[in-house]
Amino acid sequence: MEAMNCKACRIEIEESETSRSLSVEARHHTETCLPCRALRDEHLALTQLVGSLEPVAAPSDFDLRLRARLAATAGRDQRRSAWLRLAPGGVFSLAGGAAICLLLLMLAAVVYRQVSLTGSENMRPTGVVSKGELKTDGSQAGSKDATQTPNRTEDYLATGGATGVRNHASGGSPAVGGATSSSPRVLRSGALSAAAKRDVVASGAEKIISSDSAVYNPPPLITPTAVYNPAVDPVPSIALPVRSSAQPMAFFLKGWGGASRTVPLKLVTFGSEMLIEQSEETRAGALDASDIW
Amino acid sequence: MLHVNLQRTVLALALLITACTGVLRAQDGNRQQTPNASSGSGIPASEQGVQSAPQVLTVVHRLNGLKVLRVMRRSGAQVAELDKDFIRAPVSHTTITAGLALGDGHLVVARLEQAEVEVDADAAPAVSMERVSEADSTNLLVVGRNGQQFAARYVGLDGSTGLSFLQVDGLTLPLMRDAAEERLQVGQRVRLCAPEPASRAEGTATAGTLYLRVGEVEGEIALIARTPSGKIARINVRASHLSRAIVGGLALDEAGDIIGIVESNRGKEARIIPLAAVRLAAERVMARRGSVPRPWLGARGRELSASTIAQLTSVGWKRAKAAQLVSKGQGILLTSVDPATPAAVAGLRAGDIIERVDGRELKGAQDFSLMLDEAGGRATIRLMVLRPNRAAPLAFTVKLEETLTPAARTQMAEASAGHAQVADPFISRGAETIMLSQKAAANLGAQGGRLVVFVQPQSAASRAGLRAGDVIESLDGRALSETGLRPTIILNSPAQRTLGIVRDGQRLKISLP
Repeated sequence: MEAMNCKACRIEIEESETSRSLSVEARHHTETCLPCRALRDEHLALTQLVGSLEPVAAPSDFDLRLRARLAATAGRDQRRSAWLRLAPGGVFSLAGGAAICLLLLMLAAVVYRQVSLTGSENMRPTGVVSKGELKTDGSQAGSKDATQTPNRTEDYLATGGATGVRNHASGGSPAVGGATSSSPRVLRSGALSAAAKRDVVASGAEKIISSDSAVYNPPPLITPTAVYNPAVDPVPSIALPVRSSAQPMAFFLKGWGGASRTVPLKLVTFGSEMLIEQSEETRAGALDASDIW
Repeated sequence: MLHVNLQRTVLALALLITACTGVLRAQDGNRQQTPNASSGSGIPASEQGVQSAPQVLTVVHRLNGLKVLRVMRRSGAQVAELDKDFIRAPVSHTTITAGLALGDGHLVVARLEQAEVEVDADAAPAVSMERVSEADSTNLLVVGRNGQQFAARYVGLDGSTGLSFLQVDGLTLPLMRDAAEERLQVGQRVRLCAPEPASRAEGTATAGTLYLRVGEVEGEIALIARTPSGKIARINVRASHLSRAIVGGLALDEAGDIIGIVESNRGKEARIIPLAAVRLAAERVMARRGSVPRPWLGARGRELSASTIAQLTSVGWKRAKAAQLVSKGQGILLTSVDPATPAAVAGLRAGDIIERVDGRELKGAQDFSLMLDEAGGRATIRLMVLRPNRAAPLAFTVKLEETLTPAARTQMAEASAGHAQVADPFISRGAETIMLSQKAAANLGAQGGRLVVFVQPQSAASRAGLRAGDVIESLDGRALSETGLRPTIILNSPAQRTLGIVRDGQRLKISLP
């Protein structure tokens, strides 16, 4: 049997509960080694002493206080550890600390600016866009602040306050402005196609005041609940009541050559469109101002 | 040791702050440059903002029945069917065009095709405009881009440009920026904006409601004509798709700044009234607080370039000379000159070819109109004229008159002269009438005759008590009908005539001096 050395014997004494639990080799070693025997006797006496004491009841808040103490100790240790790492001559060098600071500061600054920009846009009333912005889906911003109040108002009225704007540029579903819109989307004008511009220009409220009104009525504020519904309305437009006589009127056109025909009157014409269908007979009897001086 | 370490730490933090500041500045710079970089159009961001929202107004001109009939009379039409309520209906037709706010935002300019019916031809402007303003204020609406409608008051018509000016009280309309005149160049892209009907999904349209939007046509500048002083006199824009509906639209540059108003279109080219000319017209109208007539020569004619050899030989030119003139294609061939007109008083006659005006070579009809407009009403001009069987040009001095409606004035002169082509015999007495079919006349309680659609103030018809809406059923006891009596020759005689009229279903007789 191999003889046990002192180190191994002392470890076994420390980990044992009583001297009786020591191994044969450890017991044999203590018989011949005085220091190890003294350690065994001391450990045995201490064990017997503890065993002779009366049971001690823990305080009721022991568990809570213990957890709090552990938490406080852990935090202090962590702070102390960080400072130790950053401290000159600590675990890490000054360069490492500087790099960490740089990253933290840059991250914090960028995050702060993004948050501040988002906040300023969210401060606008629903549907209000700066001059030069059109509500549709999100492209890169090219904001131009409105410098002319009337134009800004008009932009508001036209581009989202009442009806929202259909987005042809994206080819996707139209954006819907107003109160029911989940979030106004913003597109800068530079990204609009001609078709989109046409529709954007045409956007307008569906509500109108009476066309019979001869008295000026101040423009009401836009009602954000009046929303252009792209599902049923393909193009935002201005609604204009058009009245006519009970029966359409027809005209009898008689050319100088005797040919004649009857044509109806158009209820609405745009620009310089003729009120009736243009024909040779019409031109023959019409006054052509272009050859009269 | 601790002191040295602290100094190193402070220095490192200072360097970090400086670096972070630089990064943020670079980030800002990138953000500001993004719009230009993405658009690639070279337009500053501030101008791109305007592009998307041109402040094009919509002007609605509503005509009652009599005004419609007055327009139709000038179109050479006769009434075949007429609802008896048509004349009294406040709106029988609607004309829609674009509008532009000027001045302090209360003045709107528009090219209203039917503007002539809003002015009393050649009447005292102040009197006539006041009357029109009170009576017809509800027939003019200015519609903003948001659909809001505002009643407008007709201020006046500028005869030279054909532009109408409306006053919108109580509202300041948004103004547009002027395009830089010196930057305009041939080939430049232009946007022509005008209202147009908007389609609606099936089942969403309301009966009796018209849905509008402001449409846009893209084109490019094909011609910029400048005056000797360098100002733009005329702009032509070429576009692939143009219709008569674009007349009156606004011409904008790519930035959305206003260039002018579409005056007319022919084929794929639109003629633009430059904004400077629009503003001058506004000054003229506002100075008078009423319409500004244009010069009147009192002659019909056509461009020599558009004439044929046969047309020249028919008015006295020899064939060889006619071929030479047509080949040259410069000048205006007078086709008719009626008595008592400024042209006739000066000695001009049909067949004459106007070659120069005040020493300036005359190229075409538009040039001639422009030169007369520059001279102004009541001005005296000097014409160099070629005449058949005369080797050398002749010089004529013409004292121009002025009128708001040159066409109507000329027609009245032709009627007074007993011209065979005059379809309205009462025009020489100051009444504009239109022939009714039997059915249409029956709806007005008459057996036939001519419906009076307008009476010139201070004319013989006005003094006789004739009113718009009357039906002239008979002349000196003889019925007027489509196929019956043609009263032209009778009315040319100086004798007093008796008219049998139907007014509101009642038959009356009035004496026409």
